[in-house]
Amino acid sequence: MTDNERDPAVLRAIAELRRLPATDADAVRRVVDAAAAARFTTSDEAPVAHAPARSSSMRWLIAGVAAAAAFAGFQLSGALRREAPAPATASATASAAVAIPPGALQPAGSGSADALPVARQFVFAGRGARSVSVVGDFNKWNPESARMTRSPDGTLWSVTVPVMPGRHLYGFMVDDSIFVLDPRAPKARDNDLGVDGSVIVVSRP
Amino acid sequence: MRARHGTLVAVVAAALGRSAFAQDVSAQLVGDRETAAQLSQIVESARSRGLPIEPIVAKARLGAMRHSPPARILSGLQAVAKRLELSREALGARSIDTDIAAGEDALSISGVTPEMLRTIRAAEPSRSVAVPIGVMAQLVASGVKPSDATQIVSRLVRAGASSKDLVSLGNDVNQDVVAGAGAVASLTTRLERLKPLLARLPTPTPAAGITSATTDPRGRP
Repeated sequence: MTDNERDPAVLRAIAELRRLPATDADAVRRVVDAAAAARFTTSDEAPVAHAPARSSSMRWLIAGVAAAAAFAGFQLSGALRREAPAPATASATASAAVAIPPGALQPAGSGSADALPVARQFVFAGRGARSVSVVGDFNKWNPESARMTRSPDGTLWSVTVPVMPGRHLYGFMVDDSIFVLDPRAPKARDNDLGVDGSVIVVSRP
Repeated sequence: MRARHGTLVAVVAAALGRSAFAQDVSAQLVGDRETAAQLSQIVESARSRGLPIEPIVAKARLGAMRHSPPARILSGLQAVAKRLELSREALGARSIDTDIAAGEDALSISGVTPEMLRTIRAAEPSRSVAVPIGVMAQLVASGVKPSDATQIVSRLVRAGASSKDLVSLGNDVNQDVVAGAGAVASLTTRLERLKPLLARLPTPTPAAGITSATTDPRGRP
Protein backbone atom coordinates (compact mmCIF):
# COMPACT_ATOMS: atom_id res chain seq x y z
CA MET A 1 0.00 0.00 0.00
CA THR A 2 1.42 3.40 -0.99
CA ASP A 3 0.87 6.64 0.82
CA ASN A 4 -1.51 7.70 -1.92
CA GLU A 5 -3.70 4.69 -1.24
CA ARG A 6 -3.94 5.29 2.51
CA ASP A 7 -6.82 6.93 4.25
CA PRO A 8 -6.14 10.67 4.79
CA ALA A 9 -6.78 10.20 8.50
CA VAL A 10 -4.05 7.56 8.63
CA LEU A 11 -1.65 9.83 6.80
CA ARG A 12 -2.34 12.67 9.22
CA ALA A 13 -1.83 10.36 12.18
CA ILE A 14 1.44 9.10 10.75
CA ALA A 15 2.61 12.66 10.16
CA GLU A 16 1.78 13.54 13.77
CA LEU A 17 3.63 10.49 15.04
CA ARG A 18 6.71 11.38 13.07
CA ARG A 19 6.87 14.73 14.85
CA LEU A 20 6.65 13.17 18.29
CA PRO A 21 9.54 11.86 20.38
CA ALA A 22 10.06 8.12 20.65
CA THR A 23 7.71 6.32 23.02
CA ASP A 24 7.95 3.16 25.06
CA ALA A 25 7.25 0.42 22.51
CA ASP A 26 5.85 -1.88 25.15
CA ALA A 27 3.42 0.75 26.35
CA VAL A 28 2.31 1.43 22.79
CA ARG A 29 1.75 -2.29 22.28
CA ARG A 30 -0.47 -2.42 25.36
CA VAL A 31 -2.53 0.49 24.07
CA VAL A 32 -2.92 -1.11 20.64
CA ASP A 33 -3.96 -4.38 22.29
CA ALA A 34 -6.52 -2.52 24.36
CA ALA A 35 -7.83 -0.80 21.24
CA ALA A 36 -8.12 -4.16 19.53
CA ALA A 37 -10.20 -5.40 22.45
CA ALA A 38 -12.82 -2.73 21.74
CA ARG A 39 -15.20 -4.73 19.56
CA PHE A 40 -17.26 -3.25 16.77
CA THR A 41 -21.01 -3.78 16.90
CA THR A 42 -23.76 -3.49 14.33
CA SER A 43 -27.21 -2.16 15.03
CA ASP A 44 -29.73 0.41 13.92
CA GLU A 45 -28.40 2.66 16.64
CA ALA A 46 -24.80 1.60 16.55
CA PRO A 47 -22.39 4.02 18.16
CA VAL A 48 -21.28 6.62 15.69
CA ALA A 49 -17.70 5.75 16.43
CA HIS A 50 -18.32 2.37 14.87
CA ALA A 51 -20.10 3.56 11.77
CA PRO A 52 -17.50 3.71 9.00
CA ALA A 53 -17.52 0.71 6.70
CA ARG A 54 -13.89 -0.15 6.09
CA SER A 55 -12.00 -3.31 5.47
CA SER A 56 -11.00 -5.15 8.62
CA SER A 57 -7.28 -4.68 8.13
CA MET A 58 -7.66 -0.98 7.44
CA ARG A 59 -9.86 -0.59 10.49
CA TRP A 60 -7.32 -2.21 12.79
CA LEU A 61 -4.53 -0.20 11.22
CA ILE A 62 -6.41 3.03 11.90
CA ALA A 63 -7.29 1.94 15.42
CA GLY A 64 -3.72 1.00 16.16
CA VAL A 65 -2.18 4.15 14.77
CA ALA A 66 -4.80 6.31 16.45
CA ALA A 67 -4.26 4.56 19.75
CA ALA A 68 -0.52 5.05 19.48
CA ALA A 69 -1.03 8.71 18.64
CA ALA A 70 -3.44 9.11 21.53
CA PHE A 71 -0.99 7.52 23.92
CA ALA A 72 1.91 9.60 22.68
CA GLY A 73 -0.14 12.75 23.10
CA PHE A 74 -1.12 11.58 26.55
CA GLN A 75 2.51 11.15 27.52
CA LEU A 76 3.40 14.60 26.26
CA SER A 77 0.60 16.34 28.07
CA GLY A 78 1.36 14.47 31.24
CA ALA A 79 -2.21 14.29 32.42
CA LEU A 80 -5.71 13.43 31.35
CA ARG A 81 -7.29 16.36 29.58
CA ARG A 82 -10.91 17.26 30.01
CA GLU A 83 -12.21 17.72 26.49
CA ALA A 84 -15.55 17.72 24.74
CA PRO A 85 -16.97 14.37 23.61
CA ALA A 86 -15.48 13.08 20.39
CA PRO A 87 -17.26 14.41 17.31
CA ALA A 88 -19.21 12.13 15.02
CA THR A 89 -16.37 12.03 12.56
CA ALA A 90 -14.03 10.65 15.18
CA SER A 91 -14.48 7.20 13.67
CA ALA A 92 -12.52 4.46 15.40
CA THR A 93 -10.40 7.08 17.13
CA ALA A 94 -13.00 7.44 19.82
CA SER A 95 -12.71 3.78 20.75
CA ALA A 96 -8.95 3.98 20.86
CA ALA A 97 -8.96 7.14 22.92
CA VAL A 98 -10.76 5.45 25.81
CA ALA A 99 -8.29 2.58 25.90
CA ILE A 100 -5.94 3.92 28.53
CA PRO A 101 -2.90 1.82 29.40
CA PRO A 102 -3.02 -0.26 32.56
CA GLY A 103 -2.07 1.67 35.64
CA ALA A 104 -3.03 5.05 34.22
CA LEU A 105 -5.67 7.17 35.92
CA GLN A 106 -8.94 6.17 34.31
CA PRO A 107 -12.00 8.39 34.67
CA ALA A 108 -15.07 6.59 36.01
CA GLY A 109 -17.23 5.55 33.11
CA SER A 110 -14.72 6.24 30.39
CA GLY A 111 -14.46 2.61 29.45
CA SER A 112 -18.17 1.89 29.22
CA ALA A 113 -20.18 1.86 26.04
CA ASP A 114 -22.38 4.58 27.51
CA ALA A 115 -19.45 6.94 27.09
CA LEU A 116 -19.76 6.76 23.31
CA PRO A 117 -22.22 8.73 21.18
CA VAL A 118 -25.15 6.94 19.59
CA ALA A 119 -26.57 7.76 16.16
CA ARG A 120 -30.12 9.00 16.65
CA GLN A 121 -32.56 9.86 13.88
CA PHE A 122 -34.86 12.84 14.30
CA VAL A 123 -37.94 13.22 12.09
CA PHE A 124 -40.12 16.28 11.66
CA ALA A 125 -43.39 16.45 9.73
CA GLY A 126 -43.70 19.77 7.97
CA ARG A 127 -44.75 20.05 4.34
CA GLY A 128 -44.73 23.84 4.28
CA ALA A 129 -41.26 24.36 5.75
CA ARG A 130 -38.42 25.67 3.62
CA SER A 131 -35.71 24.43 5.97
CA VAL A 132 -35.64 22.49 9.23
CA SER A 133 -32.83 21.78 11.71
CA VAL A 134 -32.79 19.78 14.88
CA VAL A 135 -31.32 21.79 17.76
CA GLY A 136 -30.57 20.55 21.25
CA ASP A 137 -28.06 20.52 24.03
CA PHE A 138 -26.26 17.74 22.14
CA ASN A 139 -25.32 20.18 19.38
CA LYS A 140 -25.30 23.30 21.54
CA TRP A 141 -28.54 24.48 19.94
CA ASN A 142 -26.74 25.26 16.73
CA PRO A 143 -29.10 25.13 13.72
CA GLU A 144 -26.17 24.84 11.33
CA SER A 145 -25.01 21.66 12.97
CA ALA A 146 -27.87 19.38 11.94
CA ARG A 147 -29.78 20.49 8.87
CA MET A 148 -32.57 18.05 8.04
CA THR A 149 -33.27 16.73 4.56
CA ARG A 150 -36.73 16.58 3.01
CA SER A 151 -38.28 13.26 2.03
CA PRO A 152 -39.03 12.71 -1.67
CA ASP A 153 -42.75 13.38 -1.17
CA GLY A 154 -42.01 16.56 0.76
CA THR A 155 -43.86 15.61 3.94
CA LEU A 156 -41.05 14.63 6.29
CA TRP A 157 -37.69 16.04 7.28
CA SER A 158 -35.02 13.90 8.89
CA VAL A 159 -31.45 13.87 10.06
CA THR A 160 -29.33 11.45 12.06
CA VAL A 161 -26.97 12.98 14.61
CA PRO A 162 -24.58 11.64 17.24
CA VAL A 163 -26.01 11.97 20.74
CA MET A 164 -24.36 10.96 23.97
CA PRO A 165 -26.37 8.54 26.12
CA GLY A 166 -28.48 10.34 28.70
CA ARG A 167 -31.32 12.85 28.89
CA HIS A 168 -31.42 15.72 26.43
CA LEU A 169 -33.60 18.70 25.59
CA TYR A 170 -34.17 19.52 21.95
CA GLY A 171 -36.53 21.02 19.38
CA PHE A 172 -36.77 21.90 15.72
CA MET A 173 -35.81 25.21 14.12
CA VAL A 174 -38.08 25.82 11.14
CA ASP A 175 -37.08 28.28 8.44
CA ASP A 176 -34.22 29.45 10.67
CA SER A 177 -36.62 31.43 12.84
CA ILE A 178 -39.39 29.36 14.42
CA PHE A 179 -38.69 27.02 17.32
CA VAL A 180 -41.04 24.03 17.36
CA LEU A 181 -41.30 21.25 19.94
CA ASP A 182 -41.51 17.62 18.87
CA PRO A 183 -45.18 16.70 19.20
CA ARG A 184 -44.24 13.04 19.62
CA ALA A 185 -41.91 13.57 22.58
CA PRO A 186 -42.42 14.53 26.21
CA LYS A 187 -41.97 18.16 27.09
CA ALA A 188 -39.83 19.61 29.87
CA ARG A 189 -39.09 23.09 31.09
CA ASP A 190 -35.64 24.60 31.34
CA ASN A 191 -36.02 26.28 34.72
CA ASP A 192 -32.98 28.48 34.26
CA LEU A 193 -34.41 30.25 31.24
CA GLY A 194 -38.08 29.49 31.59
CA VAL A 195 -38.41 27.90 28.17
CA ASP A 196 -39.73 24.51 27.12
CA GLY A 197 -38.02 21.79 25.15
CA SER A 198 -38.76 18.27 24.02
CA VAL A 199 -37.05 15.47 25.93
CA ILE A 200 -35.23 12.43 24.68
CA VAL A 201 -33.40 9.86 26.79
CA VAL A 202 -30.82 8.03 24.72
CA SER A 203 -29.34 4.67 25.56
CA ARG A 204 -27.20 2.12 23.88
CA PRO A 205 -29.31 -0.30 21.85
CA MET B 1 -31.76 42.98 22.12
CA ARG B 2 -30.47 40.77 19.33
CA ALA B 3 -27.13 42.49 19.52
CA ARG B 4 -26.93 41.71 23.23
CA HIS B 5 -27.63 38.07 22.58
CA GLY B 6 -25.02 38.05 19.90
CA THR B 7 -22.55 39.49 22.34
CA LEU B 8 -23.28 36.81 24.89
CA VAL B 9 -22.70 33.98 22.48
CA ALA B 10 -19.73 35.62 20.86
CA VAL B 11 -18.00 36.10 24.19
CA VAL B 12 -18.48 32.44 24.98
CA ALA B 13 -17.04 31.69 21.59
CA ALA B 14 -14.04 33.89 22.24
CA ALA B 15 -13.53 32.31 25.63
CA LEU B 16 -13.63 28.90 24.06
CA GLY B 17 -11.26 29.91 21.32
CA ARG B 18 -13.16 27.77 18.85
CA SER B 19 -13.11 29.44 15.46
CA ALA B 20 -16.08 27.61 13.91
CA PHE B 21 -18.27 28.50 16.83
CA ALA B 22 -17.04 32.06 16.84
CA GLN B 23 -17.45 32.64 13.13
CA ASP B 24 -21.21 32.23 13.05
CA VAL B 25 -21.71 34.92 15.66
CA SER B 26 -18.68 37.15 15.17
CA ALA B 27 -20.70 39.56 13.06
CA GLN B 28 -22.84 40.30 16.09
CA LEU B 29 -19.98 41.11 18.45
CA VAL B 30 -21.24 44.48 19.63
CA GLY B 31 -22.56 46.24 22.73
CA ASP B 32 -23.02 45.50 26.44
CA ARG B 33 -19.44 45.06 27.58
CA GLU B 34 -20.41 44.47 31.18
CA THR B 35 -22.61 41.48 30.36
CA ALA B 36 -19.97 40.16 28.03
CA ALA B 37 -17.33 40.41 30.74
CA GLN B 38 -19.49 38.54 33.23
CA LEU B 39 -20.18 35.81 30.73
CA SER B 40 -16.53 35.43 29.93
CA GLN B 41 -15.76 35.25 33.63
CA ILE B 42 -18.26 32.43 34.19
CA VAL B 43 -16.82 30.36 31.37
CA GLU B 44 -13.22 30.97 32.34
CA SER B 45 -13.92 30.24 35.99
CA ALA B 46 -15.52 26.93 35.10
CA ARG B 47 -12.68 26.05 32.80
CA SER B 48 -10.06 26.90 35.39
CA ARG B 49 -11.77 24.58 37.88
CA GLY B 50 -11.66 21.75 35.37
CA LEU B 51 -15.41 21.66 34.86
CA PRO B 52 -16.88 20.78 31.47
CA ILE B 53 -17.87 24.03 29.80
CA GLU B 54 -20.06 22.51 27.09
CA PRO B 55 -23.24 22.69 29.22
CA ILE B 56 -22.54 26.36 29.91
CA VAL B 57 -22.04 27.09 26.24
CA ALA B 58 -25.18 25.15 25.34
CA LYS B 59 -27.19 27.13 27.87
CA ALA B 60 -25.87 30.43 26.50
CA ARG B 61 -26.85 29.44 23.00
CA LEU B 62 -30.29 28.27 24.11
CA GLY B 63 -30.86 31.57 25.85
CA ALA B 64 -29.75 33.52 22.82
CA MET B 65 -31.83 31.39 20.47
CA ARG B 66 -34.95 31.75 22.59
CA HIS B 67 -34.34 35.48 23.14
CA SER B 68 -34.10 35.26 26.92
CA PRO B 69 -33.07 38.50 28.66
CA PRO B 70 -29.27 38.73 29.09
CA ALA B 71 -29.61 39.00 32.87
CA ARG B 72 -31.57 35.76 32.95
CA ILE B 73 -29.06 34.05 30.70
CA LEU B 74 -26.25 35.12 33.00
CA SER B 75 -28.00 33.88 36.10
CA GLY B 76 -28.77 30.65 34.28
CA LEU B 77 -25.13 30.18 33.36
CA GLN B 78 -24.08 30.78 36.95
CA ALA B 79 -26.60 28.20 38.06
CA VAL B 80 -25.27 25.69 35.53
CA ALA B 81 -21.70 26.27 36.70
CA LYS B 82 -22.73 25.78 40.32
CA ARG B 83 -24.61 22.58 39.52
CA LEU B 84 -21.67 21.25 37.53
CA GLU B 85 -19.54 21.71 40.62
CA LEU B 86 -22.10 19.96 42.82
CA SER B 87 -22.49 17.17 40.29
CA ARG B 88 -18.75 16.55 40.14
CA GLU B 89 -18.50 16.54 43.91
CA ALA B 90 -21.33 14.03 44.16
CA LEU B 91 -20.23 11.74 41.34
CA GLY B 92 -16.53 11.92 42.01
CA ALA B 93 -13.74 14.00 40.58
CA ARG B 94 -12.79 11.25 38.14
CA SER B 95 -16.22 11.17 36.53
CA ILE B 96 -16.34 11.72 32.80
CA ASP B 97 -17.80 14.95 31.46
CA THR B 98 -20.93 13.20 30.19
CA ASP B 99 -21.77 12.04 33.70
CA ILE B 100 -21.06 15.42 35.24
CA ALA B 101 -23.32 17.05 32.65
CA ALA B 102 -26.06 14.47 33.31
CA GLY B 103 -25.82 15.19 37.02
CA GLU B 104 -26.02 18.90 36.36
CA ASP B 105 -29.15 18.42 34.28
CA ALA B 106 -30.78 16.27 36.97
CA LEU B 107 -29.99 18.82 39.66
CA SER B 108 -31.88 21.42 37.64
CA ILE B 109 -35.08 19.50 38.36
CA SER B 110 -36.86 20.41 41.57
CA GLY B 111 -36.31 17.86 44.34
CA VAL B 112 -33.20 16.21 42.95
CA THR B 113 -30.24 16.50 45.32
CA PRO B 114 -26.51 15.71 45.15
CA GLU B 115 -27.12 12.88 47.62
CA MET B 116 -29.32 11.20 45.02
CA LEU B 117 -26.51 11.40 42.50
CA ARG B 118 -24.20 9.82 45.08
CA THR B 119 -26.65 6.96 45.53
CA ILE B 120 -26.66 6.22 41.82
CA ARG B 121 -22.89 6.50 41.59
CA ALA B 122 -22.57 4.06 44.47
CA ALA B 123 -24.70 1.59 42.53
CA GLU B 124 -22.43 1.90 39.51
CA PRO B 125 -18.99 3.07 40.62
CA SER B 126 -16.98 2.31 37.51
CA ARG B 127 -19.20 2.80 34.46
CA SER B 128 -20.97 5.81 33.03
CA VAL B 129 -24.10 6.81 34.97
CA ALA B 130 -25.45 9.27 32.42
CA VAL B 131 -28.35 7.01 31.48
CA PRO B 132 -29.39 6.03 35.03
CA ILE B 133 -29.26 9.67 36.07
CA GLY B 134 -31.19 10.70 32.97
CA VAL B 135 -33.90 8.13 33.67
CA MET B 136 -34.09 9.17 37.31
CA ALA B 137 -34.57 12.76 36.15
CA GLN B 138 -37.20 11.67 33.68
CA LEU B 139 -39.11 9.74 36.35
CA VAL B 140 -39.04 12.74 38.65
CA ALA B 141 -40.22 14.97 35.84
CA SER B 142 -43.06 12.49 35.28
CA GLY B 143 -44.20 12.89 38.86
CA VAL B 144 -42.36 10.17 40.75
CA LYS B 145 -41.05 11.25 44.14
CA PRO B 146 -37.30 11.97 43.75
CA SER B 147 -36.27 9.62 46.56
CA ASP B 148 -38.37 6.82 45.06
CA ALA B 149 -36.98 7.41 41.58
CA THR B 150 -33.45 7.32 42.96
CA GLN B 151 -34.05 4.15 44.92
CA ILE B 152 -35.65 2.35 41.99
CA VAL B 153 -33.03 3.34 39.45
CA SER B 154 -30.14 2.51 41.75
CA ARG B 155 -31.65 -0.89 42.58
CA LEU B 156 -32.19 -1.65 38.91
CA VAL B 157 -28.60 -0.71 38.18
CA ARG B 158 -27.37 -2.96 40.98
CA ALA B 159 -29.52 -5.76 39.60
CA GLY B 160 -27.81 -5.41 36.24
CA ALA B 161 -30.55 -3.68 34.26
CA SER B 162 -29.37 -2.53 30.86
CA SER B 163 -29.51 1.09 29.75
CA LYS B 164 -32.23 0.05 27.35
CA ASP B 165 -34.33 -1.39 30.21
CA LEU B 166 -33.95 1.81 32.17
CA VAL B 167 -34.85 4.06 29.27
CA SER B 168 -37.87 1.91 28.42
CA LEU B 169 -39.08 2.22 32.00
CA GLY B 170 -38.71 5.99 31.97
CA ASN B 171 -40.42 6.36 28.59
CA ASP B 172 -43.26 4.01 29.52
CA VAL B 173 -43.99 5.83 32.76
CA ASN B 174 -43.86 9.16 30.98
CA GLN B 175 -46.30 8.00 28.31
CA ASP B 176 -48.65 6.55 30.92
CA VAL B 177 -48.66 9.84 32.79
CA VAL B 178 -49.26 11.85 29.62
CA ALA B 179 -52.17 9.49 28.91
CA GLY B 180 -53.66 10.33 32.31
CA ALA B 181 -52.30 7.65 34.64
CA GLY B 182 -50.82 8.42 38.03
CA ALA B 183 -47.05 8.26 38.25
CA VAL B 184 -47.01 5.83 41.17
CA ALA B 185 -49.54 3.49 39.58
CA SER B 186 -47.65 3.55 36.31
CA LEU B 187 -44.31 2.91 37.92
CA THR B 188 -45.63 0.05 40.02
CA THR B 189 -47.22 -1.53 36.97
CA ARG B 190 -44.25 -1.05 34.70
CA LEU B 191 -41.86 -2.50 37.28
CA GLU B 192 -43.74 -5.80 37.05
CA ARG B 193 -41.85 -6.50 33.85
CA LEU B 194 -38.54 -6.07 35.66
CA LYS B 195 -39.41 -8.23 38.66
CA PRO B 196 -37.28 -11.18 37.50
CA LEU B 197 -34.33 -8.84 37.35
CA LEU B 198 -35.01 -7.36 40.78
CA ALA B 199 -35.50 -10.81 42.25
CA ARG B 200 -31.73 -11.20 42.05
CA LEU B 201 -31.41 -8.70 44.86
CA PRO B 202 -31.80 -9.86 48.45
CA THR B 203 -34.13 -7.06 49.63
CA PRO B 204 -37.78 -6.46 48.65
CA THR B 205 -38.59 -4.97 45.27
CA PRO B 206 -38.41 -1.19 45.10
CA ALA B 207 -42.06 -1.03 44.08
CA ALA B 208 -42.88 -1.73 47.71
CA GLY B 209 -41.15 1.49 48.64
CA ILE B 210 -43.14 3.70 46.33
CA THR B 211 -45.34 5.82 48.51
CA SER B 212 -46.31 9.01 46.80
CA ALA B 213 -45.98 11.21 43.80
CA THR B 214 -44.86 14.80 43.66
CA THR B 215 -47.56 17.45 43.99
CA ASP B 216 -47.89 17.95 40.26
CA PRO B 217 -48.70 14.57 38.70
CA ARG B 218 -46.91 15.64 35.55
CA GLY B 219 -43.94 16.70 37.62
CA ARG B 220 -43.66 20.00 35.85
CA PRO B 221 -42.16 22.67 38.03
